[in-house]
Amino acid sequence: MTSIRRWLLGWLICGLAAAASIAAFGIFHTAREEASELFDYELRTVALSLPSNLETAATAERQGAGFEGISDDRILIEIWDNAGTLVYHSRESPVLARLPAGIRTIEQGESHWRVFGLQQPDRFVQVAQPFSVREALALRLALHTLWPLGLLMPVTIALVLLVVARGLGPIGGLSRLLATRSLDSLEPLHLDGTVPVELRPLVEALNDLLQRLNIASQAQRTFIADAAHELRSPLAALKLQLQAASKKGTLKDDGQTLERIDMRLNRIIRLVQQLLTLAREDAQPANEGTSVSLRRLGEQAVSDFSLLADEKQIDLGLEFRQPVTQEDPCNVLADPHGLGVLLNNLIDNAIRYTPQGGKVDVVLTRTAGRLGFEVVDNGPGIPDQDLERVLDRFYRGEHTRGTGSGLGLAIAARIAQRQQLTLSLRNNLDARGLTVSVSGFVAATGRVPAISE
Amino acid sequence: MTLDPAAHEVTKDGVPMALVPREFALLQALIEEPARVFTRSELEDKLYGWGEEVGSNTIEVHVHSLRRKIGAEQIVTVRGVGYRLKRHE
Repeated sequence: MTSIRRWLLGWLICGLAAAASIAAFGIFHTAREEASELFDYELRTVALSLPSNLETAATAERQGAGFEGISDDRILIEIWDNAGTLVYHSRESPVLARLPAGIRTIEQGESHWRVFGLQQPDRFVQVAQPFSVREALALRLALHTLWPLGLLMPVTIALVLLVVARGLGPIGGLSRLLATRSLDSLEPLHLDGTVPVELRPLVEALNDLLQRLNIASQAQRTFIADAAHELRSPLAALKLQLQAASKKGTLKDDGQTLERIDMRLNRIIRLVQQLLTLAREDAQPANEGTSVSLRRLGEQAVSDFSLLADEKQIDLGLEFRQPVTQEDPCNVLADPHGLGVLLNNLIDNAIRYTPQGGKVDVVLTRTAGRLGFEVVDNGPGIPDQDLERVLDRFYRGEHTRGTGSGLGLAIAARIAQRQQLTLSLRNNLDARGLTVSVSGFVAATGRVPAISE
Repeated sequence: MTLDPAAHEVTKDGVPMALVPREFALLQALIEEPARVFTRSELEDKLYGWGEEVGSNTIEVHVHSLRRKIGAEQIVTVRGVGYRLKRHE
């Protein structure tokens, strides 16, 4: 996998290291050469500045000790008089033979020497220095010139790391922004002054793609909504005609066929209604919640289904689980219409699949400060392997009886998702039946507007 | 069973029934909207005027006495919500 960051860091740090190495090499050598020249100059200076009272062997011997100071750098001094007699040498024994005048490097025994010979009017002075001493000193000098470079490298690397991290920051920000987007958010990315020029084409291309995607998905939603809408009127007309015909008795049959046709027609009408609801829920942008009383909502939904439940002899009721009490309005921030559709779908489902004489409870709950509700039935429940899939659109488990469209739970799940609620299904542990719980409501703190009757 | 709001009279199978005014008001509310479920607080509002003190189980008491007179099955309790009239086909 290629990484701009790794590439930048690799090349910058390696390049800097290579450049620094070459510079260090150059500096080191130059410094050494300069030091060498300096030592040659020192030799010459020593030779030239030797006092002339070293002319005679006697004084030379007497004052020899006084010159020890000069030999700090282990400089060897030898002086010959015009007759060719060695009149002075700074060591106990003469080390080097007399060489011609001028500067040169010679090899004597184990060591190398740098020698400078100077012919003066009355004597010949030869000054020499072991090469190893010169080398050691030159090396020290050269190394001393390198430390600023050594200090510069870590500082530069730290700077490179910082600059690269800063430079790539907008890319990280952009990917975080995209990663945390909600599933159905196709709004274009905001292009403001903080987006670097280099990223602009990318963001623009992305926005273009998002816009095209948005148009396409909008078109699909519109199509479903339109199709469902268009289907509604002919279906309603068909139902009316069928009812009229069966009343008038113009349709002759044994009664069963008409009943079956009527049942199937009802199913199609319901499916179309559900499709329309789903398309509407998909199309609506997530809106800010208003204050809704969950108790009022529950009362409304239970009332609405009271007659239907009665028909199936199902005991439908509203319950309050501690710490929620009957007086508790359970005000939450939510979209009241969507929430009503959600709860109605859940109750409709529960009544549909609960056999005659069963029981369906809408239970208001509060756990850890978060309000919620549950729809609990004592029907057959859902096999565990189907629990995940029943929220998928048009999925109907193999066990399913009844006249469901396969959209009820999908609609409920969609609404819950849109309102950032948690919808979960579980089979009752201690008894038969299914519990669908919706939780995660934010309790409304403000005043609740008066409930319209 | 018929309810005549003008005459404040309820008859069952032609026999007039003796209802106290609040029982009559309760029955009238239920009959006027037979499919609707009334919550306790809604019934309290219908039976009592603004600012009148209402005991916590007053509605239950009225429903109970009304049921005794017109038949228990005529008024259906919707658990956790309130009351409605029994559905007549």
